This record gives sequence, structure tokens and C-alpha cells, in this order.
Amino acid sequence: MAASSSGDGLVSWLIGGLGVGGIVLGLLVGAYEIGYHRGHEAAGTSVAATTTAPATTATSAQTTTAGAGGATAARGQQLYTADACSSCHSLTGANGVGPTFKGLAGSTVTLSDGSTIRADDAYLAKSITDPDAEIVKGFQKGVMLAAISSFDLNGKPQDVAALVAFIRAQR
Amino acid sequence: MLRYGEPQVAVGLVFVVLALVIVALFVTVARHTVSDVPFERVQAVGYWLRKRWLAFLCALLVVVVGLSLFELPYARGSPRTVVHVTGLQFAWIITPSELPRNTPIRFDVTSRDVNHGFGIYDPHGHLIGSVQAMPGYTNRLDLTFHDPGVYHVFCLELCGIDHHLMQSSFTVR
Amino acid sequence: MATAAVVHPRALELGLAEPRLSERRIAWAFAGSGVAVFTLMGLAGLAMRLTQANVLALSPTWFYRLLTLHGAGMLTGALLAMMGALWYVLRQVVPLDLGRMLASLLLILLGAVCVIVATLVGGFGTGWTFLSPLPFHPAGQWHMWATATFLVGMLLVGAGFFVFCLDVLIKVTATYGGLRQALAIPFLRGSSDSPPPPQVLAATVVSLEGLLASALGTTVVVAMLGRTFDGAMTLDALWAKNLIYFFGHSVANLIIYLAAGVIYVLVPRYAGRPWKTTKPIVVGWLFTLLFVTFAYSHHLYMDFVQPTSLQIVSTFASFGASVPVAVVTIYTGMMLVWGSRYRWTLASSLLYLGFAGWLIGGTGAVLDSIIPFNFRFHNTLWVVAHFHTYLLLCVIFWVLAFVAHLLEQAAGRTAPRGATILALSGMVVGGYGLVGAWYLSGVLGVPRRYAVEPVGTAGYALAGSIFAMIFALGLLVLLREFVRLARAAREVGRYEAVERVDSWTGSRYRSRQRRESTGFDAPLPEVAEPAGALLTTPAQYAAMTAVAVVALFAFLPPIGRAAEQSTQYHHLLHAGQFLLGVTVGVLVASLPAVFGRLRSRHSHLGIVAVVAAPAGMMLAMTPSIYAPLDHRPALHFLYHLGIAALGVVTGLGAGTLGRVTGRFAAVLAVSMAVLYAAGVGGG
Repeated sequence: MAASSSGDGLVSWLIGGLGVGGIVLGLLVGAYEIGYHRGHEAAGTSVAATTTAPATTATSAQTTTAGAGGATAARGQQLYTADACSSCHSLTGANGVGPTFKGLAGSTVTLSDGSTIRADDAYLAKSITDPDAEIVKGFQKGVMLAAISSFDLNGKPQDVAALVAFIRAQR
Repeated sequence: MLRYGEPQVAVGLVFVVLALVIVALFVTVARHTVSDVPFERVQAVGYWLRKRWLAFLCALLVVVVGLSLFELPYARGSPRTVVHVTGLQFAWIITPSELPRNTPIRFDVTSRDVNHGFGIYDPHGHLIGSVQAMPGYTNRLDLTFHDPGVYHVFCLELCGIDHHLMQSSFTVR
Repeated sequence: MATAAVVHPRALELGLAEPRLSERRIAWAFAGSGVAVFTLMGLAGLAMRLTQANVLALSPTWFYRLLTLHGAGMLTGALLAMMGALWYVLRQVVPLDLGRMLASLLLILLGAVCVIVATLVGGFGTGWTFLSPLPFHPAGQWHMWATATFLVGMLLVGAGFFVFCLDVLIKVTATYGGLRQALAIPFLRGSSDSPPPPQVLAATVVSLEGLLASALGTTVVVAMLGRTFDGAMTLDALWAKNLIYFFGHSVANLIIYLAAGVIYVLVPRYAGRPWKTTKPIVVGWLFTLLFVTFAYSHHLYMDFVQPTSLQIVSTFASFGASVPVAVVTIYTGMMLVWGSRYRWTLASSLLYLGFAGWLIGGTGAVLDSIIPFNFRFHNTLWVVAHFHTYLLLCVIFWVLAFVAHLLEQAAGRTAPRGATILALSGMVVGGYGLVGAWYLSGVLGVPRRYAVEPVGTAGYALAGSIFAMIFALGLLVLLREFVRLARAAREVGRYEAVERVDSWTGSRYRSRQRRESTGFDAPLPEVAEPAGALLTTPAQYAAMTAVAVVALFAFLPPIGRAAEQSTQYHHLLHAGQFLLGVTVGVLVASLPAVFGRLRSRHSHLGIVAVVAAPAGMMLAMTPSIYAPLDHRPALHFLYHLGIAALGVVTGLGAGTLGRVTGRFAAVLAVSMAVLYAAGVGGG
């Protein structure tokens, strides 16, 4: 008695399965479309409601090129959001990728080599123009440099001063 | 705080059910390995069942993959409200960061340095979805937000030492 | 040999061949190093889970180093073990080369050393997927030498796998008389009654796909290697991602398909029923070959700039790849064991459990391969869960099953029932608990590759760690049983029982004496048709000459001037010069006079040529190497000749590899050059 061959009819079942799947898919999609149209006709709204909403008035849409001028804390705040300092340095007191700015100015910070230093204006300015020179303990070297290297803040002393003024304003 | 949400929970449940079915299958087969059944008999029944199993899988493939093609996240059409997202080591620049709700929003996502993943979590902590941020390319994601509140962004592609700290947020009013 | 006690009684009637000494040694070398690597990498994995659980205080720096090492190391270890296992079973029917296998082992182990140095000493921490351009933006964590070392390590592992695949394809096509015969297509069509055994089908598909994956991997790795010393060079991020994921996904997937070939041989020994090549198996492998080639793009679902057509093809291919597995391989396996009075030993139990892991992991994978679901699961811990189900609960179980099988054969007995149940319970409970915690975390939306887990989710990591430790305990029990079996094997191997007569009293007694090693090995199988020349008919010669003439245009000045427009065109020009060289090499190698001299004796050199020359050519194409030649036309021309010369070497080398493999290798080499041109810019 010959055993049933393993390949008997497998191809037909494969094609049949694909076909049944296609029919089921078609029925499902068709039913959805019909139901969708019926529902919307009943509700009286149109299907294609693509109203182009006006761009939101955002508080931080300006770019660094349109400077408000001067080395003021207001300009510093502008840079703080436009240059994404906010992503790593919070104003809430909580540390993130970088130390928080709240209460930073004038405080005593511990550096990675164990020494302590007072965060005066010169220290803050140097942290911006040469971030890896004095790294605060617990934070990674190289990260800030990578993040801000494209801003070329070394060549913009007014912007650096503005940022320092902004940090000073965070009590 | 992350929370469970749809459709992940549904997919998870489907997976658990299927996994339990598979376990039951293997336990059943294992219990039948100790008996002695002529191989021809096993083949006869096995081949009968296999054709139907194959047909079922093929049908499932067509239906599931076919339906999924209607839910592709890839953006189409003209830009609506556009949000520019730039990822960099280790921060997100999202402009504008306040968005209107119930409005189709298009995110133009790119990166300044390495690959990042723009992962969006709604105010309840459910992961809505993600899109890659690649240097030299802009990925376009269309989303409409219905819940107002603060949406959190986590980085979903290993990008360096502070990958797990690379977080941000935007607000939907 | 006392193997009868540990296999199914009917297995002896199946006429299963005894392995030769060299096969056993290779199996031990590969499986042993695989298990050693796996154990070490497992400790790294446990350290990572404990760090995420806030139990261990590893810094993020070390976490990401271990993450990178763990991924690369685990895949290398699994690859080693499965290569050895397939070689062990395949050499019964195909005369694979021992020297090349040892070369593969050396290359892969060297590559592993490079990866260890790059991560643990150099601090390389990009994750094993080394996605460009992350290796070049270390953010202060590692130096470029670490990047270069890691890339060299990847290159060496890829080369080792490439050599293995080349030898498999050469020998398989030679033994069965061609590629179509090796894939059993004549059998499918009904014109042949004696197809090759199923492990040959598996090996053929794996070698074809493996050669492709290694070639593409080599392209992107060499390009990135050039970038480590040429800072002005740019690599297209999307191009790099496609190639890296093709290489990575395919190699990981092929490890499971290598294992399938081994399963075809091992299961019959415990089930007492033969696993024969049938038409569904042939069709299943053909579909697998098709699907595995296109499935890789599911790693790029969230790169919306990837062509949507490729995304759609990939989702069909990813789901489709599970169909031959579910309908043919696993299903036939279940049919074989049903009602078979399956011989439950340590090895056969691990074999059986592996099938379950494959199917469950496949379910998680198929769900993630649905694009709308992937949108929510991409790069969450769900991904980690599903590939650990595949790799830990299927591949590792099968690696251990293979080692157990070798030990049982050598010792003539299996591990005691109690120890087996204890070990397997620990591994099953621990393993499924570990991946269960990850599946749950994935549903929650916890991102993967986080040194510090999001607030409130460290508990899942703690649960995972506990289950990992339960798995480790089960594994320890298993390894202890392995040691005991190994000791028993040494006894059996060294001594044999003899009956002696006491010369004083005349009584008989049993004693033991040292076995004499016979050193006899069964002769290797014959090949049906030795390696043929690449070009045989006049039409083929004419076609190749036409291609060479077209490639000659690459040397014409107008084309050269057009090539100055951009780096991509310039590199395309180089690819044209390489193509010229390859065609000349193939033509020369096919000439009867030359081919007669080049035959198989030189195919070792041929393999070296085909592996090294294209890689060398691409490294030489790094812009900072040829940039100084821009204003010295004579040297520049010599440089172009050099590229063409490397092509000639490649073509000659391909000519020694046999008709099928040589042609495939030549096409791959030229494709690598063209692909390189597509993605590299700058300089």
C-alpha cells in the first residue's frame, strides 16, 4: 500500500489559502469602506476634512541668527531655547544630561578631579567655550562639546556673555 | 511614568494566547511520543492536516499583512502644520514646541550627528509610536493629537553614552 | 562504539553513518569554543540586567561596552557552534575541506579577540550593530583605534564565515553536479529519484545567503574602516544602515538555518524514523532563500525614507519566512516524533525544547513585522524579547543539544533522569521568565539599550535578573552533567573490557586494557563532478569578452573627466576598472590551458584571493589614499591599473572555485565595488 505522498495537493492548498485570504481581505476592506461612508453620510460631515491649520504661535520659534541684540539675560534666554541648552540643562533644580542652571551661578561645584571651584562668571564662560576643560564630577566628558561644536560660540563673545547673564538670573 | 496602552496590550494578549497554544501543542505531542504508532498512519493524518494548516497560514498572511498596508505610518500628501525635530547627542530640538490638538501635524525629523529615535509618549505615558532621526535625511511622520497635555520624547536608537538621558517634551494645547 | 544505548533502537536500522575522527574534533573545537563564548557573554548579559535593575552599580560607560560585546560575542559564539555542527553532519555526504574549516575557526577567533579588545580595552560602545555614523561620534567615550579594531574584528568574523560558505558551496555543487541538483530542483520536477538529503538543501541555501551577507557586510565595514583614518569621507547613513542590517540580520537568521540542517540528522537518531527529502522540503527551502533575502528591511521600518515598496516586500517576506518553518521543518519534526517511542535523553530533550523556542520566538517576531505594530514596538524591549527567544531558547538549546549528543555518543550513556529534569526545568523556567519580563516591558513601551531604565520600570529588570539567575543555575547543573559524561567518555575511549584467563588458576576474569587507536577514518565521499571552468561554451566567452570591452571604456579620458564631477562617479569608474580586471581574470582562468594548471590544487589560493582582493580594492578606494595622486597623472593611471590588477586576481581566484561558486563570487565582487561607489562620498 503506497503511503500518501507528502506533496499531494500542497500547491493547490497554498494557492487556495492565498485566494481565500484575498477574498476575506477584500470583504473586510469593502465592509469598512461601506460602513465608513454610510456613517459619515448619516452624520452629515464630509470625509476629506483637510483644513490647513495656521502655524501655531510658538514661544521658541526664533533661530539664533535673529538676535535681539546685546549681552542681556533676555538674549541668553533666547539662546537657551534656540540652541537647545534646555534639553540637557534644566531650570528646575534637577540634573539631566548636564547640571541644572538653577542656583548654579555663585555656587561651589566639585570637578571630576576632586577639586572644588566657585562658579563665577569666568568659570561659566569657560564652560561654554571650552566645555571639556573643567568637567563637573558625575558628568561625561565630550558630550557638551559634541552638542555645541556647530554653534561656534567661541567666535561669539556677546552670545556667551548673554548666556552667562541668563544663568546668573536663575536663582 | 510609562503606562500600558493600546494597541500594544492587545498585541501582547494575542501573543500570550498564541504562546500558550504552542506550549499546549508541544506538551500534547510530547505525551504522544511514548506510544508506538506506525509512521504511515502518522503521515496520513499529518499530511491531511498540513495542507489545511498551510492554507490557513497563507490566508492569515494575506489578511493580516494586507490590512496592515492600510495602516502604514508613512506620511503622504502635502505638509500641514509642520514641526521641525532635530536630534543630536544628546538632546532634541523641537520647534515649535506647542502644538494645537485635533489638527494633523507633520513632524520633519532629522539628526545633526548620529541615528536617533524620536519616540513619543502621550500624557498618560503610553508609547504612541516612533520614527528614526537620520543624519542627511528627513523622515516625515503625520500624527493628530487629541489629548491635551505634555507629551514626552525618549530616544529610541542607541546614540552614545547619554542615550538613556536624551529626553524632551512638547505640549499640546 | 557503544552508541547503541543512547539512540533509538530503530536508528541503527537507518544506517546512519559514524562520524570520522576529524569531524568529531572539529565539532568539539567549534562547539566547545561556542559554549565557552556563550557562557562568558551570558555573564556580561547578567551584569547588564542587574545594572538595569539598580542592583549592580555599573557606569553607563561600562554598560554600553558590555552591551556591544555581549551582542557581538553571542552571535559569534552561536555561529561558531552551528558551523561546526553542520560541518559535522554534512561531511558524511559532502567532502568538506578540513584545512579551510580550521582557517575559518582561526579567522573567527581572531575577530572575536579584536572585538573583545575594542570593547573592553578601547571602550567601543555602539551596540554590536555599529550603525554609521555613531562609531565616529564617540562623545568622548572611545578613540578611533577602538572603532578600527572593532571593524577589523567584524571583517575577520565575516571572512571566516565567507570561507566556510565558499567551501560548502563548492563541495556541494561538485558532489551533486550543479546548483539546481544541490537544491533538488530536478527531484521537484520529477526528473530525478534520488535527491540530496535535507541537510544538503539547508547547507546550500545557507551558503548562498551567507556569501551574499558577508559580501555586503564587508563592503560597509571596509568603507567605515576607511572613514576611521579619512575624516573627510562621508558615508550615506541610509546606505550604511541597509548594508549593516542586511549583514547582521542575515547572519543571525542563518545561524538558525544552519541549525535546521543539524536537526535533520539528529532527530532521526532519537525518533528512529528517517528525515527524507520530500517535495515540500525542497519548496520550503526555495521560498526560504527568497524570503530571507528580502526580510532584512524590517529593521528599517521606522526609516520612512526607505522606499515604501521595499518596506512592503519586506513585511510579506518576514511573515512569509515563518511559513516554511511552521509548515515544513517544525511540522515534519513533530510528525517524526509522534508515536515514535522517542528516546528521551539529555540531548533529545534539548532538541525538542528548541523547536518550541523557535515557534514562540517566531510568533513574537511575526507580530513585530507587521508595520503598524512595529511603529509601537520598534526598539522597545519587545525586540529584545523576541530575539532572545530565538537565540536563547532555540539556538542555545540546540547548541547544548549538539554537545550533549557528542558526549552521549562518546560515553555510551546519557545523564541521569533527575539531573536532566533539574537542569532543563531551571533553564526553561529561567529562560521563559527572562524573555517574559522583556515581552511585558515591550508592551509597556520601555526603550531598549538603556543603561538606566525609565522611572518605575527597574522592577521588570529585577524580575528578569532573577529569572536569568535561575537559568544560570539550570545551566550549571547541565554543565556538571557534561563534565561527568566527558569523564565517562574518556574511560570508554581509553579502555575496553576484555576477558582474561588467569595463568595460575585457569579461571576467567574480566579486566580492562587500553584501546589501540586505529586511526582509521572512513574515506571521504566522492564528488560527482569536479570543479568546472567558469566559461565553457564559445557563447559564454563571447559574452564575457563583450563585458570586458565595455569595461575598457572606464579607462577612456572623456569618462574619466565625467567621473571628476563627484566622488560617487569617480568610485563608479573604479568599479568599472575592477570589473575589467575581473572579466580578464575569469577569461584567462577559463582557458583550457590555464584551467588545467589551476585546478583544485590552487583553489585554496583562489579563496584567499576572492576574500582579500575585493576588500583590499575597497580599502584602496578611500579618498584620502588616492587624493594625493590627483595632480600626478602617471601615478593616478598606475593606481587605476592597480585596481584593475586586483580585479584580475579576483577573477583568477574565482576561476578556481568551480562553475557555480566561481561565477557567484565574481558577480559578488563586482557588486561590492558598485555598492561601495553608491554610498561613499566626500574626500
